[in-house]
Amino acid sequence: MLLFLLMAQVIVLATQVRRPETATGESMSLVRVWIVHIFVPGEKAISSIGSGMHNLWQNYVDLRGVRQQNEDLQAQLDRLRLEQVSLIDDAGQARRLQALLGFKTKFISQTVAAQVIGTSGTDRSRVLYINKGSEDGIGVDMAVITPKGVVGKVTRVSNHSAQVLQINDATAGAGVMLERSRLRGVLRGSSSGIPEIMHVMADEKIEPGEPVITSGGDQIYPRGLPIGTVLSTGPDPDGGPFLEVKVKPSANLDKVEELLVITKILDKGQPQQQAPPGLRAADILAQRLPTITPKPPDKTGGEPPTTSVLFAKKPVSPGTEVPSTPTTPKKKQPAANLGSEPATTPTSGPVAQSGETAAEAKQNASPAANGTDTAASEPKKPKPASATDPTQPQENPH
Amino acid sequence: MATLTYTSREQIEVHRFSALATIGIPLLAIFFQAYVSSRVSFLKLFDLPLLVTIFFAVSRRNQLAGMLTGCSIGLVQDALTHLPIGIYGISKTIAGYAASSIGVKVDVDNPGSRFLMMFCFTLLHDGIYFIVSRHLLGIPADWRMLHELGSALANAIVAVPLFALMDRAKQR
Repeated sequence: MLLFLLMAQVIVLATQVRRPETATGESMSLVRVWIVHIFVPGEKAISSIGSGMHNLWQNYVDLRGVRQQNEDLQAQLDRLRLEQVSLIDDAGQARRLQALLGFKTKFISQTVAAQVIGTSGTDRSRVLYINKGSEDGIGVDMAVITPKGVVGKVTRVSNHSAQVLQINDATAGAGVMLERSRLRGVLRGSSSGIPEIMHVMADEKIEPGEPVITSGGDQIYPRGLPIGTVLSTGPDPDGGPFLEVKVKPSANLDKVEELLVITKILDKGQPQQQAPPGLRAADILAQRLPTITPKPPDKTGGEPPTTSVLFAKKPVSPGTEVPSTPTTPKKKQPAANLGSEPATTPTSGPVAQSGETAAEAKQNASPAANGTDTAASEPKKPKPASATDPTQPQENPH
Repeated sequence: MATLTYTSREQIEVHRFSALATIGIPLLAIFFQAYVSSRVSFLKLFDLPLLVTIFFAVSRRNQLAGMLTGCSIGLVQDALTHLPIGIYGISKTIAGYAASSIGVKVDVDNPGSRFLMMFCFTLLHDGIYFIVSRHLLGIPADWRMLHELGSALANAIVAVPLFALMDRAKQR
């Protein structure tokens, strides 16, 4: 009994004493620190022995047919290179359109690869232990992913290991969005290990198989990461006005061996630009009026100024009069040409919406200013006056 | 007339274990459960630490020893989860106490009784875990009857050969 009382007191003390972590500022109870320090070295040792033997087999013994596989892969690579060219073009177009719409996006800029060395050993607590800790840059609440999809987030960190809470645990959650219907919701795990999207109204139409991605609203998982697909929908078992939407995770959460911890997320969006002093929205609007067709060359020899000179991107001082000249009907540009159209054609830029500030208007007019589009990031120079026929379409100076 | 003592009853043998077995077997069970189930996920259906708790409790036939064994193993198991420390501790303490109490009255060396005992104790353990986590701590948890019955059955099946294996560690 004495032993029992002493042990109980030690445990109570240990659960109260907390040791601050150096890197993250988070704390971890002493009991957990002891237990983790007891179990993790053994798990790491066995894991490394196992992976060493696996590597030995894979790298030396099991290499039959590699030559043929290499040739097949080379052919596949050639085919993929061709596809890549068109995809790069599409991606560039998407970036330009995003820049035009003023989207702010988050990019994964740094990840740390880690290996799973253990679990809690029970499906009541769906956690994984990984072989990287605070000394490797891992911190609490960092998202953990595999190439297939989201695994979970880091919940506890020690120096050389970390605990990852899987998204299908009953206490886990994530902000999600349905890819096709763009319906937002909150994903929560369950005791059975099949996560559900909460609070979806019964009148929403959701098809099984629809991809589910992260919405970015939880500030943990970057937007757009695959979570899984809708497994089934059905009425709320509690009789509420909601749908029960079950999700099948993309990542095989029962057999995760290697994963990536997102240690750094980069906010990439349009920087807020300060409008030059004295510049009014009306002045910017004046710069973006439809293209003015220059007058034909004067018989007397005087050359009219080109449109680029007229609409050169320089602040128009208040009171400057814009010459009243006939306008050319604007041709509708295909989306693919939005970023590659002549910089000297100011009509291509979006016209400032009502209520738009001067800074925003300028920002929208110059999507290349945010640096997302390398093709359009060159400074827009006014085209010098030329002796060619100004009625001819202007060429792209780039 | 020979003096009758607690340990001298023929029907009830009180077994002792070496320090190595007392510490090593539970740690091995927890380690195995934590490490191997990361590779073989269906092993999460089993609860090897509970098996060890029940085995030590019924072998020692001492309620205090059974409680302490269950408490220690449960707390270590708790530390590996992300949930508050003590849920498994409470569940296994009660399971250890109950097992040691049963062990005094029932022949626990028979494979049939071991099977039945393990089945019932797994359900008891899981029931206490559910009550503590759901109703005491408010952690979202569901009682999945089929899953619990399957888990109890799996533990009961594994208990028979595993208990026979661990019998070798007994000291008389």
